[in-house]
Amino acid sequence: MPLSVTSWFVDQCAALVPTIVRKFTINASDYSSRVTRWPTISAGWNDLRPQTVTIGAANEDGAFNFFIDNKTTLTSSCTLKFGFTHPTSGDELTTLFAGTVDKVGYAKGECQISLIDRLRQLTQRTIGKSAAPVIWSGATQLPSHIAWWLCTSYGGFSATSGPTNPDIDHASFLAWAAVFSADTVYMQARFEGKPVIEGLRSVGRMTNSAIFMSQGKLAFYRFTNVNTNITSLDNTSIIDLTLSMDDADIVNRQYVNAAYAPASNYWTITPFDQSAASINSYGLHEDILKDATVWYVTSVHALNMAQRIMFTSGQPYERVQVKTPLTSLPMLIGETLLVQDSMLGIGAGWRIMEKQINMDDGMIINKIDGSQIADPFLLDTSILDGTDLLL
Amino acid sequence: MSLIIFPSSPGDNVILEPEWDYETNDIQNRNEHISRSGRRYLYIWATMSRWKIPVSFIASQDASYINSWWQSGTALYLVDTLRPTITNSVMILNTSLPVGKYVQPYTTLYAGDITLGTY
Repeated sequence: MPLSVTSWFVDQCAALVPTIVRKFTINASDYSSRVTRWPTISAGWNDLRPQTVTIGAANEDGAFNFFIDNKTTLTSSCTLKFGFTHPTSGDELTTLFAGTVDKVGYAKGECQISLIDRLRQLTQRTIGKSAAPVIWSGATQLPSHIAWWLCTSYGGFSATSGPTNPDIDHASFLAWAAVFSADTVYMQARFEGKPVIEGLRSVGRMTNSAIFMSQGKLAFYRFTNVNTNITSLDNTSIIDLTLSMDDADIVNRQYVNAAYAPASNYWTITPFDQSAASINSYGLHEDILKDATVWYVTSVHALNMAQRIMFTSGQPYERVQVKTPLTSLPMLIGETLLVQDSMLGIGAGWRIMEKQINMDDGMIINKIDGSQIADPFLLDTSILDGTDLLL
Repeated sequence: MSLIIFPSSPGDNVILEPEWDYETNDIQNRNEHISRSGRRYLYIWATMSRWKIPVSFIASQDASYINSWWQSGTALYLVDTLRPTITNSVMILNTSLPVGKYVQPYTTLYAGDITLGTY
């Protein structure tokens, strides 16, 4: 899941003195030259809530007074783009943020414009009522079906298939849905008046999925084992690196409650999986995954979920925070990479789980850990007789 | 050398003959990030030019033009006769009246310090 840009763009991210372009548009009009302070854009793999960013803009001549004159302009769509100027073919830009105006403030000669991403729409709409709950009780519904209905039928997101969908990263959604379809993972749901985003958050949590805004669209992923790491980060691009481990990350007995009976407020199945080796080493760390709005239908799939968590959570994992220049811009959340640090003696492959891009100074903070990855299979040809034997 | 300044909308030119302590000064909005291996990444976001132009023996009519452009924040063009092909878009950045001192013993000639900057 790398950034969809050209190889020239990727080269520019690693360049020592690139020709950078930053663009801020309101209703497709370019206000970039008025920006006095560019924002930091953050996203996390399981942090499903609207992100806000604040931009400082020069308003000495009243250019942004149109928000006061016409208050409906507060719903204007805005984008923040970042890229480079190609010597012959012009600017190549990627969208880092897409949303609407949230708040404006005027002080001295400056206008502070807060933007909020498309997820706000999912916080402003609800699904079901206590008196008339929305119930999906079919026996063969995939979690992706529930997520699609939540986003489109109740959240108001576009239901267009394909890359023209303005709200949903449709390619990532199809790949995500295919995982559940291949494994015939079925879920049921019941909503009695929650905001749509809370329903979607429940689906993400119960399926251990990553649902987040990526390049201005809602993206869906369920990380699987990887055979290789796509990229690496080493001291040529690492400005600063910190590493931490937390005993609280350990789960060595995972319960997943399933087959919820709304009438009696009771989960009729509670399968679990455990790691005896981890319990012997670290003591018992139990966790229960249950949700009265979205639940697995059968014990098979609930147990599969428990096993999935046990796959990586039996021991504490390294959390690495890496500060880089623009070199890591093309690496998106979920991407696997090698992080190398000779002093700490690390050279393992992990996933990017959170990312902060500071558009003001070009610094990027990546939070990388092993919570969603098993050690990749790396073929070391140096210990073989020769690469010809691979043929 | 001379500097010619004139408004971006049609208007009158003023030709300035700077004193010897005339200064040009470019400012960059830039960030430098140095990686742990010593690799230096330089991000230049913008370059702005500034001119500090001490002037004297300015005719009262030209002084009026300059002071009124300063008062109204008029967008101007600046051409250096040594590089006549380059036209810079500038504004007068002084925080107080740029040309307001009399030059002794005259009552119709003025002196001052004009600070121009690109926008």
